[in-house]
Amino acid sequence: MSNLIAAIDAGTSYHHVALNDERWAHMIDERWYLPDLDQYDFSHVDVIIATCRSNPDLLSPHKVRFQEFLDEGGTIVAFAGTDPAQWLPNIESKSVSTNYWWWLEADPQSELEIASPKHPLFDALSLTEMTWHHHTRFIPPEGAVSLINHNDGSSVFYEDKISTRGRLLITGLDPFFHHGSYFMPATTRFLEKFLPWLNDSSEV
Amino acid sequence: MKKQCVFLKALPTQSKYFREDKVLSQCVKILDQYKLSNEILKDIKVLILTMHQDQRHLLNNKQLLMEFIQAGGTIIIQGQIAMPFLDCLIPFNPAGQLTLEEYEISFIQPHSVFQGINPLSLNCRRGVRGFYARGSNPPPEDATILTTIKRGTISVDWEWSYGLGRVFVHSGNDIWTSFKDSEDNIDITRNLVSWAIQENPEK
Repeated sequence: MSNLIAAIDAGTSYHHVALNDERWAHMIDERWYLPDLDQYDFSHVDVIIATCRSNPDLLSPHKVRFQEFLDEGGTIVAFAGTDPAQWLPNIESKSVSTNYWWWLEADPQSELEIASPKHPLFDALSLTEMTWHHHTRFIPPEGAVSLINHNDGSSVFYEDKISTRGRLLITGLDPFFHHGSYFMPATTRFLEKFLPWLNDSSEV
Repeated sequence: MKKQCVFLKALPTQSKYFREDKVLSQCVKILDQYKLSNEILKDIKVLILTMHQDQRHLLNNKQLLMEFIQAGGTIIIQGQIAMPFLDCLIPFNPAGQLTLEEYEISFIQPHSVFQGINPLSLNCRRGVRGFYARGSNPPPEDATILTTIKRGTISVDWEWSYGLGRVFVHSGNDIWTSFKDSEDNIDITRNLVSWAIQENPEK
């Protein structure tokens, strides 16, 4: 069974391009225009995607509604630049200086590693498809599962099924921004595989 | 001094240079995008937009923006157009795969925004190209082309006049992210703002 997915559309060019790409547009059932978020009924979708760089100042007034959605068993995916600590529960983020250039170094190290290789996400995606750069790292709460770790021990992508009755997928990756800006082919490969996984996930 | 220039902030983390640089902070006022109004535009000469702008909101304000230009205002547009919010705009056209050489910027017309800047320093950082532009917001026929990629064939920066006003279009990431070093980014941003607030020669 497919999940009903709503994605935040902040009206930017990159959201418009990324959310309407014909390769996966049919998997995104609703596009919620961020300034009008109060007009949408959260309760009839399974998944809400906070696309990269959706303004947290416009998300945070809906903090209680997001909490209610999670308590009803919903999934929220928060990508980079959305500052989820402002509007989602139990988030501890670490601001980091983004290293865009690691792949040009003599012995290129992305500093990322798969933390939970048996997680079903990795039936769909490899680490290569999740590796370009990241903007934020997180300290997941106890009981949450890190999917991608940075070598400093923090997480770049984690799943939290503990803090609420629903599921949080929190990441410092920014695929919608880069794919929608026609820059960074790894982000296209990520969306091509991540969205079908999110759409078909049997865990919700 | 009354600030004649507004930067229309789209994200909370933006506007560092407009807050902190001593020259830019004196002439640029920072305004949240959704506070744009006719009253604000009546009081200023220059509106600076960013690549992160909510273009749907701008499209809803198209008439207001066109009237601002017609009356002598200058709008600086950055980023890739998805929803044409002015008469001179159509959607961004990505360049596709180009060679490193084809990504080189060519200056077509001398312009004060690019004064003191080596075109080869734009669009190339550590041997990686495409930071400044990876395609074009296609210009109308009556635009003045300022810079191109692909050896003059793809327009990147251009100017367009309407009524008593004008538009400067940059088809790429925000111009203050062009370089690795802040000093270089501040220089080009000062150039941009200085050009924008000077009296429009056609006015």
